[in-house]
Amino acid sequence: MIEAMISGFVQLWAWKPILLMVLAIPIGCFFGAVPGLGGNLGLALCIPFAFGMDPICGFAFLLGMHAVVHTGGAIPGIMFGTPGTGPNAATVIDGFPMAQKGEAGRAIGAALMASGMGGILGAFLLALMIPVVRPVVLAFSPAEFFMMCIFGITLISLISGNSLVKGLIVGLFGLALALVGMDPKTGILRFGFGQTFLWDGVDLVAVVVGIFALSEMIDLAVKGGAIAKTGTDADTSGYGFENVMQGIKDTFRHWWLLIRCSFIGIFIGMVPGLGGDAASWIAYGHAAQTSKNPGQFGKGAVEGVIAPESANNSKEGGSLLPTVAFGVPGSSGMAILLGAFMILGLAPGPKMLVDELDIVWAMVWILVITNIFAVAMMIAVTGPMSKLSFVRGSVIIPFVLILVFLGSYLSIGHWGNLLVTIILGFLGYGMKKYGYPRPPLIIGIVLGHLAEVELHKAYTLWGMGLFMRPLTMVLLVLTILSITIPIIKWYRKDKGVHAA
Amino acid sequence: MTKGKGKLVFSLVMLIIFAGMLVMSMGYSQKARFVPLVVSIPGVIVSTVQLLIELRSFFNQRLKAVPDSEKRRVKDEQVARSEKMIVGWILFLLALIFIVGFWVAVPVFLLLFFRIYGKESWTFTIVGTACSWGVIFVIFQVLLKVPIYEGLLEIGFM
Repeated sequence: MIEAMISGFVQLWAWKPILLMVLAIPIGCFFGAVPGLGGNLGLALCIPFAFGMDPICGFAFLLGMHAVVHTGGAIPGIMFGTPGTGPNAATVIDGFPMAQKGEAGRAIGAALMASGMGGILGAFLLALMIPVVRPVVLAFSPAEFFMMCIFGITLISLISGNSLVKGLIVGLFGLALALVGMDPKTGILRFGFGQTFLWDGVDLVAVVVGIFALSEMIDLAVKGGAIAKTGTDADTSGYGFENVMQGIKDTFRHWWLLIRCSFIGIFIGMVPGLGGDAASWIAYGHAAQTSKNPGQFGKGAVEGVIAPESANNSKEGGSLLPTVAFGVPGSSGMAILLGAFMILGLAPGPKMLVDELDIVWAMVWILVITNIFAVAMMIAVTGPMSKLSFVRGSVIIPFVLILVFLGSYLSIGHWGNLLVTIILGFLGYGMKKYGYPRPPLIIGIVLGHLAEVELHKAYTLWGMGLFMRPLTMVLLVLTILSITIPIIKWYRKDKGVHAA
Repeated sequence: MTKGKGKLVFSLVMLIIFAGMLVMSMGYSQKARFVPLVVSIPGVIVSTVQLLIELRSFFNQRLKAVPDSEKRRVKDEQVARSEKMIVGWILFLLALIFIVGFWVAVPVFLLLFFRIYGKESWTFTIVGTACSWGVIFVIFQVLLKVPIYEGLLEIGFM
């Protein structure tokens, strides 16, 4: 094992793999930063370049690129409220309000460092889990997946802000959107209005850019000025290198949250089918639930940036685990990467852990090195980039509108997606204007579909006995606790106020 | 529309959405409507509760005499005008994309938006439009070669 670990590391320290990793990082960040492109398209477009490369070089380029996609995706989310990728949507909730408060530099610094550290922790856990992966992954059945989704959905109540009723309305609306498309049990088209592009359900990118980016641009046009509302146009004091450094320090100040959320990401990434969106939102909900100041979430809490960013990068290490160990991709990106394994002459599976262990270790090191390089490279350009939030609205709005429409169209290649984006953009503006929290909608849509699919599978296998499985019962208890603890806290606080 | 009325209308819209979903769900088979009913019934209940809350606060506010009502009315009108304007621009961009496709819609929209909405100088308008269109064209068409919607006119001619 130690020999393979050292061999994997030594093989990477040649000029060619290093150069390929340095080249892969800006490409990965670019695919992450442009809404609608994403890591999967990046991988698909870059795989042909890996033909003829040896496995170490091929993975240095492809895995290196894929590992940093979400690092780049956080930047437009914080700057313009337009997340580059689906899993970065959770970062917008607190990242964009931080930019509005004049703390864009701090938010980006925290996002970059949390992403980098999450990616590194993900790689280390991947390394630790290699010998014991099989029983852990096999312990999860549809019943446990279903309970995990329900656990995630209960977080709606935590991020509903002041109005639980409004939060529930938005969360239920998200769940309703998740039901659009073919029923997984009967194959009947539900709420499709005769549109073929809705057969696979409502596209998440169209929803996210509509609910967040489009509505923010309407709001910016109505209020006037620039994204950053710090008083005078010349007041750019929140945007220097020292502010980026403050964000980095914040990440280490919240080191325990970083580790917990990285573990959430690794674990969710390891379970095939749950996806990166679930990782970010569950981590965000966990941060809100355990914070001393949950009321600050949604208004620019730095923990709300650290939690999802650490989870969405760490999940890459987690999702690589079943891909390498069983040949079962842990995510859609890993499914594409599976094609690259074949191209590079490797057969993923238990045999790879024996015969090609040095390459598996090289993958672990690639995750570590690219995450470190990506943070260093991005920090260098963050200062000037964060000043973009001072550009006046009349200049920023048309660019963002075009990016929103391009991203929405490119996501599924159908112009009907633009209509979905516009309708949800107008609804999103209404929600913002009339005090409805928007994050529950995304939680509803991401976890609602998964919950329905897994419920049907689990019910077919075990009937009502699905709740009697040991791990399901543990998750059920956690779900009940996640609902009751905030109520008890609220009751005690309320009692305290009345007593005073 | 005042903010109070807007809140009322918005909660009514949410109620209509859930009620519509409930009615549509009843048309599906028993297995297919199970989860939609689990979502739409509580949806109707909570949005009705919200509508009642908004109605109560709306009538309470009407009963109270508000001293700066004229000032507020002017502000509401300004907001409504800005909203109509930006919504109009968004719908204009959508119509342009639908008819002439992205490659023509992007420069036309940028040019008109900078000049009319932003009241920018001709130099900024032309340089800004050319640079933005160039960057988008090079990234999506030249480098990535991703298929972009070409519009009703182009599809019609083909």
